[in-house]
Amino acid sequence: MENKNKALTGFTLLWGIIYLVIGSLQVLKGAGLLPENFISVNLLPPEIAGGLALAVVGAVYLYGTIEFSKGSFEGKAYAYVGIVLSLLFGALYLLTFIADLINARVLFAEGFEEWTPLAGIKPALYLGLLSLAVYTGWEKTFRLQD
Amino acid sequence: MVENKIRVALTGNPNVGKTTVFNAITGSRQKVGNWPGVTVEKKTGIKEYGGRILEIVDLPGTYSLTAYSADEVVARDYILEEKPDVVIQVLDSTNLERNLYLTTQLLEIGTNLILALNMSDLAERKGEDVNIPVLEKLLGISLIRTTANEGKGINELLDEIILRSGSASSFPNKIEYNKKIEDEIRQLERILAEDEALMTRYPSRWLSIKLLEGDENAHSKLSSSNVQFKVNKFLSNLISEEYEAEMADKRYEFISRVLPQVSKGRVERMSSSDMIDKVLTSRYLGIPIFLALMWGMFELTFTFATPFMELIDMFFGSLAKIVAVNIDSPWLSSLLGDGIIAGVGSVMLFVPNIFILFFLLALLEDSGYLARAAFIMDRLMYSMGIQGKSFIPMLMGFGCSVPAVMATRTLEDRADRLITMMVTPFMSCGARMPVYVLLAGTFFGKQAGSVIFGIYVLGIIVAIVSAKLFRSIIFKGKPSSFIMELPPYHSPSAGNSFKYMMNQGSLYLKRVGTVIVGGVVVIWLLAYFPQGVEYGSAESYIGSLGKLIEPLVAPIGFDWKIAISLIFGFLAKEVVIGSLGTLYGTGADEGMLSSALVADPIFTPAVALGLMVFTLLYVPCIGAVAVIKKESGSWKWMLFAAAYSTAMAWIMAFVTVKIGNIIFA
Repeated sequence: MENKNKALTGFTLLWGIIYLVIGSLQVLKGAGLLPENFISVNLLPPEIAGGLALAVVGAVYLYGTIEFSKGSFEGKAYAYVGIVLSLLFGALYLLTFIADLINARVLFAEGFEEWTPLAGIKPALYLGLLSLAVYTGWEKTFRLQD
Repeated sequence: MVENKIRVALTGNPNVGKTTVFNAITGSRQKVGNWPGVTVEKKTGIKEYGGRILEIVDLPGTYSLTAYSADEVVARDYILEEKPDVVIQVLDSTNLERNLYLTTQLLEIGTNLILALNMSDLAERKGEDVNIPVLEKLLGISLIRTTANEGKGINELLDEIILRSGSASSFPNKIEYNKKIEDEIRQLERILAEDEALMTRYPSRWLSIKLLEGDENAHSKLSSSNVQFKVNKFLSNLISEEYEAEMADKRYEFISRVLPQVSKGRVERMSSSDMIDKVLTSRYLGIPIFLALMWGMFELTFTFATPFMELIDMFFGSLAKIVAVNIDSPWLSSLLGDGIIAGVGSVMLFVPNIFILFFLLALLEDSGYLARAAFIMDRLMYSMGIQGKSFIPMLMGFGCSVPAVMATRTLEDRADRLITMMVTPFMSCGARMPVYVLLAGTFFGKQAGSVIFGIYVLGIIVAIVSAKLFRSIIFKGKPSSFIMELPPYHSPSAGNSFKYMMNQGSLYLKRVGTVIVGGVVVIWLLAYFPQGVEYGSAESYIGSLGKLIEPLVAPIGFDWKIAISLIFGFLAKEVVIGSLGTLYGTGADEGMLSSALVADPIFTPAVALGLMVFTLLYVPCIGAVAVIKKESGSWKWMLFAAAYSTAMAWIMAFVTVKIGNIIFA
């Protein structure tokens, strides 16, 4: 069947790969299978469970790519849920960022002496923000029958 | 005249307008009674049409023909045993996917089937245009569009009944299962063919499929057959639950191939709720997404609470200083500082975590996701011996075990209920959270959220494995089937979730004010006396008691202070931390208690992890134990729950500490 959703297919493929790669690298780093200095900790924090969560989001996007490539419109469902999950995890890291900011700059809490805003910006946060921009652009595509 | 009579069975899912079709056909000529032996309503009606007499039997509404409920058994047995000339399935045109599942099963039986596509006016208004000729071609059967409440399409349906009454079923697209299943179906068909009488009564492919699915009603049909022994022998090495799930998937796969070809307008207009459901209940992605969301919830609970915890910590720290400076009496200063402020303060510290967790759980429930969680877990849980419905009390257990155990009342089957009651306390309730937050925060730093998530997952795993064990040894048999209507997704209300959080949180605060204060005062008394000994030392009363029970936990790596904390944790799990705060005499300062734990050589990361595991699994709090007694109606089950969970806790903590010692060495 003809694929009528080429732009969405490209998006799910790109986002799927990014999430899967970043998630996997975080897991490998968290498990100690990659050296600590392999890409800065700020850009790629070692995190097993967090990395697995990102890999799951990546898998959702890639499932969408597969559905689109079969000509099925149902890939839209995976693209939509992928974006929703990206936003949820982005929001989670945004709230964590705010909490860390308060601890470091307002309460001067123990353990936050070294904290900088750059250290708080994690991949899930900026990918979530980018996904929000994508969703805003494609909102009409997803708002169909509510 | 008998040859003039056509016997017609009317079937379909509940609420598809079946009774309206029945009334539209039969008018006032109906009789209502019960099927012999069961209290399932039986409606029959007569209609004279085109020179023929139509005897219409309205079968009970059913989602599938797998014989679990009395309704399903009646519907299926009527079609199988009475062999009506024509079967009409009434479908809800606005919900074809679910309705076609029953169609695939009717076709598998080999019925002479006509589909009445009801509520077609509603579907048209929603822009759902079903291509009838294509669907007829794909299924090999006739379809009539009806709007029964207006009488539209009824005469066409009657014409079709007369036309089809003499012909046989000609479903061209039989559902192909995978090669292994198809081979096994063929082998079973060969065995069944040895009983000719049986084969004249039932279609061999259908009977083979049902036997592979482990359908007990189908097994009973072999009770007087000479092939029963051979069939049982053949099936003895197969796991029927796997076949049942695989075959259900294939039927849905078939439907999902058919629908886009006949109903493009409909399926391309999926609502957001449909889109979310499609992915979140997916066979492969459903459980990973569920786990990722659960992790997110615990990570947020841990990290977002830290500034609030810091503020509470500062407050109690200042309070302890004020007491130390202004109260001269050593015993009163110790009671207030080491006892009440240290004990209660160390528990109060975790109020933000508890509140955030309750708020997030309420958001998930309000959005409709928790109902899906039960649906997602159903297959896994069924294979482990409990039904998906049990997951709802288990999820409630994340809040508090007491209402969760009470919620097992919703399970009809006693065995399901008792199993669920025994395993629900393994779900980590909010009261255990302070123990995890303190120990994970102290010993695992940035990985604390993930460690806490792991402990919660361990609780789910132990619950499910225990259920399997109980089902295999104590409650032999199969769990009941689980069918639930999933509510549509909607944006959760922050206001409602906030109210829920406040209600549950205030209950927690009440516990802090009563049980926990009482507990820490008792601990302080035992730690302060006899006069003249060092506070909380091995020479104090509590030290002597601790030393007495220390040998029981020493193999795990725990000392007498931990043993005492666990004993008092039976009052309420929060008291474990309150006790440690009191016994270490660190005041309410979380930082000081953390430092004291790190400085104590007995506390290694492995022991901390072992203590979290023990706290998760050992005997639930006194409130939960009392409710288990009340709900099971038996001291025996209450004692069994207490003994089993404590034994499980000991073993799992022992294994955790041993493995932890190797990993963290």
